Amino acid sequence: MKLSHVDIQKLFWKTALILLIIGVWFGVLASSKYLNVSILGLNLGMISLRPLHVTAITMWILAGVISCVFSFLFSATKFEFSTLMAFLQWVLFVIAIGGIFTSYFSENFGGREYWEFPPVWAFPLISSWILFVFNFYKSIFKVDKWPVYLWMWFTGGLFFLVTFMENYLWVFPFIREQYLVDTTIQWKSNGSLVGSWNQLIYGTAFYLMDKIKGDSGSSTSKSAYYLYFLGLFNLMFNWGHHIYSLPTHNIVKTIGYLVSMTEWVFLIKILYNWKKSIDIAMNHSHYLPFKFLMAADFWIFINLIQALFMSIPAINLFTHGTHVTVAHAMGTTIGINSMILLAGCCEFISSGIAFTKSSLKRMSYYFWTIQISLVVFVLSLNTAGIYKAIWQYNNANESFAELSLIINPWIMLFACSGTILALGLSGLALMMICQINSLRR
Amino acid sequence: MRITSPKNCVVFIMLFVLYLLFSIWIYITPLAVTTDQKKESIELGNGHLIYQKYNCQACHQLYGLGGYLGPDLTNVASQKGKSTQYIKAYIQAGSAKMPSFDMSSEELESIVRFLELVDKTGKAHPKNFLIKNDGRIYSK
Repeated sequence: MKLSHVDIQKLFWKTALILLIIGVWFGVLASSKYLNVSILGLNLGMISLRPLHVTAITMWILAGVISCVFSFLFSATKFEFSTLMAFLQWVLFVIAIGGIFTSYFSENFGGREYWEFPPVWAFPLISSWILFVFNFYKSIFKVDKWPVYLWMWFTGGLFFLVTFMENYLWVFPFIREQYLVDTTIQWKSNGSLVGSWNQLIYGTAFYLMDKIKGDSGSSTSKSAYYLYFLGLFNLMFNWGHHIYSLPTHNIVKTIGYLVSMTEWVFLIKILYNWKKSIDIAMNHSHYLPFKFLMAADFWIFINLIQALFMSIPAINLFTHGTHVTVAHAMGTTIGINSMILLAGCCEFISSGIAFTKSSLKRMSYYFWTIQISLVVFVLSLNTAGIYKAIWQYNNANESFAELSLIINPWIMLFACSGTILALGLSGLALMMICQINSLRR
Repeated sequence: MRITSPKNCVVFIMLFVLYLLFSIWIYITPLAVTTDQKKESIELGNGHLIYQKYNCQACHQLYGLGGYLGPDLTNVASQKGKSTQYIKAYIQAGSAKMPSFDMSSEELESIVRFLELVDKTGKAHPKNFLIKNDGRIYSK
């Protein structure tokens, strides 16, 4: 059986959406552990549920960006990718996910934060990524002048490779035995790794905006390149805010602080473009991918303000290690990353079939369910985080159970809004899978 | 391969080289380890593997990094009322929110030693920091 390019695109999109559904429901189960640990019994406790949730969502993002690149590569470069290589990549990706999930279910760990699986499963994962990078670099290197989104895809592909490997430096005793250096490297690589997939996602957003507006002005302008390089600079050096309390080199922290403050430029740019964005929104409000991009814009604004304040060491000292950090991580993953990926999926579907009026109405219902529940979700986490910050400052030697009682109402709200959010996201993802199945291209 | 936007390529390469140099500088710091510290470093590295094997990071934090269901363990070894024996007993018996862990005696010794050595690296509680006017913080 010979697979066409569309078959590959559909395969990756469906894999991504299934991972999203699995990921959000593992998240719901994990949140229930905060309230009543006996719901699932301790056999599948937080120890397995947290990595299952985090890995499924991370893989949703990775599969989502791969789907976006494969779906829009031809339109962006006029060169196609190799279907055989892409299929091999998918097989390795699925083997890695199968191995990782099996190890989590059997409580066979051995990895670090966010990658808790035994390191052996990193091999199929990184091999799959190498195939992906090679496959799409072949196309973009044939293009003469790169619009900014090709630069971003190029950067994201390269830096994921570099930072993922850097993340495994702990396997060498030379690194692992120096706790402070090891922890510094861990958060250096994790911080930049998130920045690398952000480059792939924001590149997709740039591509989609060009497509919606019908001209390539915004992705070839000088300001677009300036912002890209500023983003790259942040990807490389803006991870120091993760380790302000770690007694590592002060210069690392100072660089992290100074670089993160350059993000004010992004905020000023958003405010400067506000009026223009509203005008564009009025003209394209009926267009589904645009709706998701506008939602992402709103969440960028909210999360950027939060990130800027959290990057100030004096504030970070109190918010670090509290639910404020979780609120920020979830706000960016769901509000920004997932919204842009879902916009990409809508664009992929709508280039093959026209959405019916009833499906648009249902999608709109899911869309607003997600947005409203996400607002409550983020607010409840932030409030729980503020309570925790106050409590841990004043009660260094008190029982941790006391804190659980104090923040319990907010955790309850977080779990409830999280369940509604999961219903909205999985409903939307299921609808999209059905639409992809009905594509006849 | 064709050269695309030479000016952008130069900026990219310059930033990438800067990033590599900065990374290497961070990696090579462990070279400055004295013989006295070597034994403790090995114990720390081995203990960290046990911490990872039982995925303690799913619920606990070290320097604020990790899960949120349980308390931060950075300075648990020097916390009032939390002796080595207490930590061992807690790991073996579990609690309402924490499962009991069936560790071998070597693993138990190793993880407790790991927590003791992490505790020696510094203090993570906010009260141990001075806040400067420019927003920076310094360990007291």
